[in-house]
Amino acid sequence: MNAAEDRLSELMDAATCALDPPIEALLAGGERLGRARRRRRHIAVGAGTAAVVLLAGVGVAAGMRDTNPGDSYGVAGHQVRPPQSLGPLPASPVPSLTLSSSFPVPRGPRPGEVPINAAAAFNILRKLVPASWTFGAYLPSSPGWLLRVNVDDGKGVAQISVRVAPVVKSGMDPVDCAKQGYWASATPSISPISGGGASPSSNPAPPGALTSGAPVPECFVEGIDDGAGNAMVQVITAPPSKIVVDRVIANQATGVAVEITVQNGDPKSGANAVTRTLPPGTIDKWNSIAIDHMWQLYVPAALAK
Amino acid sequence: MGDRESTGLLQYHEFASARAGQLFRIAYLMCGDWHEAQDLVQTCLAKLYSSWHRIQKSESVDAYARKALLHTYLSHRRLRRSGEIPTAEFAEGRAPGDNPELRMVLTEALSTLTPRNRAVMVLRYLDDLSVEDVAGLLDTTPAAIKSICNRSLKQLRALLGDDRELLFQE
Repeated sequence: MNAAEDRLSELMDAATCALDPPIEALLAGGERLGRARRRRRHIAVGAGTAAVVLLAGVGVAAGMRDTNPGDSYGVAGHQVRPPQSLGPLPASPVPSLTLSSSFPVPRGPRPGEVPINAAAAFNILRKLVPASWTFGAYLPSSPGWLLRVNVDDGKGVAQISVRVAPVVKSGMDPVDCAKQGYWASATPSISPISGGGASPSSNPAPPGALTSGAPVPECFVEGIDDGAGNAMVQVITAPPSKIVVDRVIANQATGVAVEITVQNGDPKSGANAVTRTLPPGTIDKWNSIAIDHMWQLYVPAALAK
Repeated sequence: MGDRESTGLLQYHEFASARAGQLFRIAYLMCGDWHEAQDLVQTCLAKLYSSWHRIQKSESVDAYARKALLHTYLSHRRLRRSGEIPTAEFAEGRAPGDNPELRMVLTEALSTLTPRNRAVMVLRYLDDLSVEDVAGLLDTTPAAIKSICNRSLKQLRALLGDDRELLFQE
């Protein structure tokens, strides 16, 4: 560790070394709760068989619904291709980071719920970002995306795109930086790298990048929902252009896949394709937003208006 | 209660007694709240208790305890989805040599990090876990953890700028 890291360790130690929690009460509480967990587990085993049969029936119905082009979420559910504005996948093999899991078919609608649409996605997004952000008019739908909308956090316009689909139909399972990541070349337009490009697992920061505030391209995959789900988190840069995209694909344990991309400008505005240095928020914040369980295939009808 | 079960219970008690204090310190810096830290540690101990026989056979108990604490913390954060408010000092137990002012400054600075990044920083710099160990707990790569540490350290340095000489001597 360097000096600053050592100092942080000292500070954390100094700040907590004299804390005096009620250890006996913690132990007693932990044991009490642990016994309750064991009892619940024994009861749940007996009910498990019936639950499996019920879920299998729901899964069949959801699959049939997915093929109905009239469903509003079916637009998102059928879109497995990446958005055209970001370019194709790399041609040359790159190290692969893969987490794969078996995902359930997402739950069906509850009473009063409708398939998620652009309006619902917009309302959910507004709940999850700071209230001070101002939004433009969102597109009702666009190829490959459930929602596409411009937003301004006071530092310039950015564009957010959202896609929601069943994991089993999203083409994003397992998440893999080599397969679903976007890697830019040194040419002005974003295009696949050709050998020797950045590794998806260990993008080293350019010298001085961390202190200069320059965006650092990276991609990693992590477990979410206590390991029952997974997410790919990527920061995409395309030097020498100043385009920066934060991108998260979250395969939630509920069986719902959420993809969010946030660009530091409006890609269709030509001269205003880049209006700010970085996208709003942080990649970690977008990660938190994408893994939020408000994103469902079926939402309350009031949310979808 | 059979011999095996009573032996297991004794071993659980020995482990929990020895580790509860450190788990609390980690939980406290992660969440910044005395009562929430207690809840996190109790839940972590409950998970240990309920799975003790399996844990002992399959993996490091220490690693399991940290993973349980981490996942409980991150789950709590997602459910709450609200800002933190540093708790009143009177709720906390103190011992001689305590530095509540430093603790307040540090927890306020840590609260500006995302829950995940905050957890990474606490595990790395309070619990002294290696980059590889932290990556394993979060099911991610060492490179990602290094990146988080670099960014978060930079952010903390900027926030603690007024106390830079005191807090970050170079």
